[in-house]
Amino acid sequence: MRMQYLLLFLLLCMLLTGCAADLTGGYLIPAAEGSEEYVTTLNGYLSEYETRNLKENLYVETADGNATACFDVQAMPAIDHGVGRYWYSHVLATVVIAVDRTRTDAVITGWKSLTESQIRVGMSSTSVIRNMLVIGALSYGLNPAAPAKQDALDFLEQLSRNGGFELDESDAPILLCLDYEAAAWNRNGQNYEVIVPEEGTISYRLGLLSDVPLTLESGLDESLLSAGFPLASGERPQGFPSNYQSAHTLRAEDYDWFLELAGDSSRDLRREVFHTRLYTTADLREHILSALLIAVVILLWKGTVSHRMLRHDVQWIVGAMCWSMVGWLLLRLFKYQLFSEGILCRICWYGYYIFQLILPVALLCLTEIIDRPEGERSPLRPLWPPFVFYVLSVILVLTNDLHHMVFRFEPGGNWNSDYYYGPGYWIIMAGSLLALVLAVGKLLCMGRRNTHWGGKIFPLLFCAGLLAYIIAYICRVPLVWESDLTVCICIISILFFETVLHSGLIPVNIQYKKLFTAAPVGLTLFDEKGRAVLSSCGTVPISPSIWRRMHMDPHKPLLRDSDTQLHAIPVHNGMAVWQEDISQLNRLKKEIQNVQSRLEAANNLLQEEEEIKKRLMAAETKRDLFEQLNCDIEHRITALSREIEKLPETGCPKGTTAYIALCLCHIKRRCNLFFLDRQGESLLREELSIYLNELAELAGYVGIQMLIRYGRAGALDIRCAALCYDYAFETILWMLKSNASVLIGYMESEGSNLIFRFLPGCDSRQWHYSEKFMAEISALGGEITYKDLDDAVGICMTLPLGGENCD
Amino acid sequence: MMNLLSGHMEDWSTPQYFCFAIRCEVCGEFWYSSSIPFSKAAQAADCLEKKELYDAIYQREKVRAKLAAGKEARELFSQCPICGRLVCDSCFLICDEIDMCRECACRMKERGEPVMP
Repeated sequence: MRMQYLLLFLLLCMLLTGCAADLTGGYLIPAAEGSEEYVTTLNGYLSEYETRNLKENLYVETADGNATACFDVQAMPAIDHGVGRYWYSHVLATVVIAVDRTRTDAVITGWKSLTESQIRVGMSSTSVIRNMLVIGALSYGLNPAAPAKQDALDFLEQLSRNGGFELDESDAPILLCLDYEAAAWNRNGQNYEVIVPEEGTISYRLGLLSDVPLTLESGLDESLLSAGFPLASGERPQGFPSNYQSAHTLRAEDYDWFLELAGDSSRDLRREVFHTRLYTTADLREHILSALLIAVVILLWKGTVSHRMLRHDVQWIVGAMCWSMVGWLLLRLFKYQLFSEGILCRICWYGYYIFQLILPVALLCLTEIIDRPEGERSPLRPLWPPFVFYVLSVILVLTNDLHHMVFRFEPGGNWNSDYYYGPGYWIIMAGSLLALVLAVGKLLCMGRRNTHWGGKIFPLLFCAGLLAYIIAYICRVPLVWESDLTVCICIISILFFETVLHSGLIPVNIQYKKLFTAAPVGLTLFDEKGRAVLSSCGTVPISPSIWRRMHMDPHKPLLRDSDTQLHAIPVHNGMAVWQEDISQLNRLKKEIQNVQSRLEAANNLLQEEEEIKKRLMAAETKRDLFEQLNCDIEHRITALSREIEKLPETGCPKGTTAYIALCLCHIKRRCNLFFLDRQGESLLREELSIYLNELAELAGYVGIQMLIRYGRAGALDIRCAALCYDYAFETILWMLKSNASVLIGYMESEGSNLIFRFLPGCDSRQWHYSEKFMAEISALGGEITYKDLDDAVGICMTLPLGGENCD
Repeated sequence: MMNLLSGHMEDWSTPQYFCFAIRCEVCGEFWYSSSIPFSKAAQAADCLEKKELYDAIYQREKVRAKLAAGKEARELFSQCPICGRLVCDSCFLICDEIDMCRECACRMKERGEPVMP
């Protein structure tokens, strides 16, 4: 943006400062073609004025304080518009027909006789004013009552078709010229018959236009007459026709219709008489207007392209191309403003190539970066050869006056048109063509997957058209040579680029509206002020407070309402915001919460149920346990109760009391072993020995000496330990019954069996252990055997070892 | 009113700025207060050893920001005298006899113009 403002500022500076007046003044300037001799004659009568050639146009020179020689049809409109206040007419110039009698003896009397003669007719000049004078005179001559330009144009077209009519053809046998010119030629030895057309013609006044009053010294009329100029008063020197009755001199009221009649004569002559420049600009005004129009169109197009482009680097290159074209057109306009075709004009012409040659290079650069990510710097490397070539080419063109390798001018000719191309030009053109071909080739290569056939054909067509046009221009094909190269290249380039954009070879965002309309996500593009630029269908506008909040922190999503979440991402000059519908999410979340609460309630219920079950199970287990315990020790308790009841009646209370104590001890330890059994634990032999020693101690109270030895330590299965304990208890009971006093026991492990031997001090063969005890031993795979020793009977209980044996 | 607004405020603040939101109970749209930057946001991020100090400053500024947000919201929210809900100006109607929220007006067939169309 800053660059554009700078360019506009420079343009304004150029335009405004270009109008600054430089009131130098003091020059006598021949502003009309053919007035040089007249000015030379005047020079002696305006001593304070110095003669010089025209540098600016007539009006600028006059406004600068100079005295300019011009025709009345130039001076009167200028005075009407405030340029030049003083008009001094001296010479009367009549449009006549000059017939070279050395080349033809055709009878020529007037305009119409020209068509009958079938002889080539020419005009001695192509200047605009000369065309105006002739067209005006011819129009008047063909219809003095109501002069019409179309009559003159039709007449000249017919003339051109029959015998030939050429502009700037001073070699023709018949010339349309001013009478004093023909008289001058005759004075120089030529043989022209000067004919005042009998149908009528116009006499124009040649004089001086000035912003300041001029003081002309006396004797000017005589000098003019002697120089061969007819005076404004009608007095003519020798060598002029005698009869000027058909010549009409313009009066003050005639200038309006004359200017309306003769305006745009050059353009009409080209188009309607010679049928050239039908499709291009034909005069200076059209050149300027067309250039301005094209420049405006290019800038507007650039604006649309910038709006459509996705990438900034592509935008930048397209902008550079557009400004190059605009610069080319502006330079061309500047060149048109230059009145003299001097060095500056030629440098401007060379300067066209600064802008022209950059176009293919920029296009190549564009195609090089287009398929790479934005901001990647590596593409710059392969692009330096075309840029170097461009710089060298521009230098070569701008220095052409030194070496003439690019343009070669014909000696004595007009450099503007009489030139041909040198080898440098062909090298430059070949380089530019190569860049263009590479660029187009790359574009087409990138778009080869494009299914739309027009996407490839149209860019190729415009490219081919551009090449054909340039080749035709170089070959000077008349239709193309007459056209405006700059405007045509600009237009074709823009059309080419536009087709490239439309065909999708360069990505653009022209389908954004469709994209947004079709987008299912609620996407909105905001400008930097929060205004929605593009919005997808059904998107609800956001409030200013939400915009402020998003602008502050675009990366954090926020809620528009409970069911709409807004996400934002900053983009160039604004922000992209999309709305996410989270109603489904909220519904799911709510469902999950409901399910969770239901699960929690169910879980609580199950926990309570489990607690109740646990309590019930504990009670049942306890009951079962006590039932089993009861079952296990019931008979002992019953026996114990009986013994206790009998205790007062017994004769031996000590023995009964010991028995009761033994039973109580046995019940206690059995209960202990019962619970240990339910816990699934084992019992160490050391602990079993404590139990057995306890029994031995109680047995000691009734006089039984009991000694038990143990083998190595280790753990016993509870059931095995309980049987050992029961075995010892029942043996003690039998000792009591047998009134035995000594009991020796030995417990040891033998292989996989536990051997528990008792050697009582009496005959134990009559001892019978309880059935329940025996059943338990059998169930465990053990047995009780008696061994008859010499003086005693030993009892041996064998049990398979259970539990962990540390032997 | 300030208490009501304060009670409805949702904290959308971050360590960098303070922002509060109030949800209209009729249309459901959130209004966000103007974000006020935390004065020590940059320092707090750099200087972790003074975290406790900056936390205290943050809390103090947050209270002030909340008050400011309340004042800001007071201009944009009203309490419906019928249903007692907190409603935004778009949903609060100026009726002939008593101003009320859109839903109450619809229920009672009252006509009115919204405070902010």
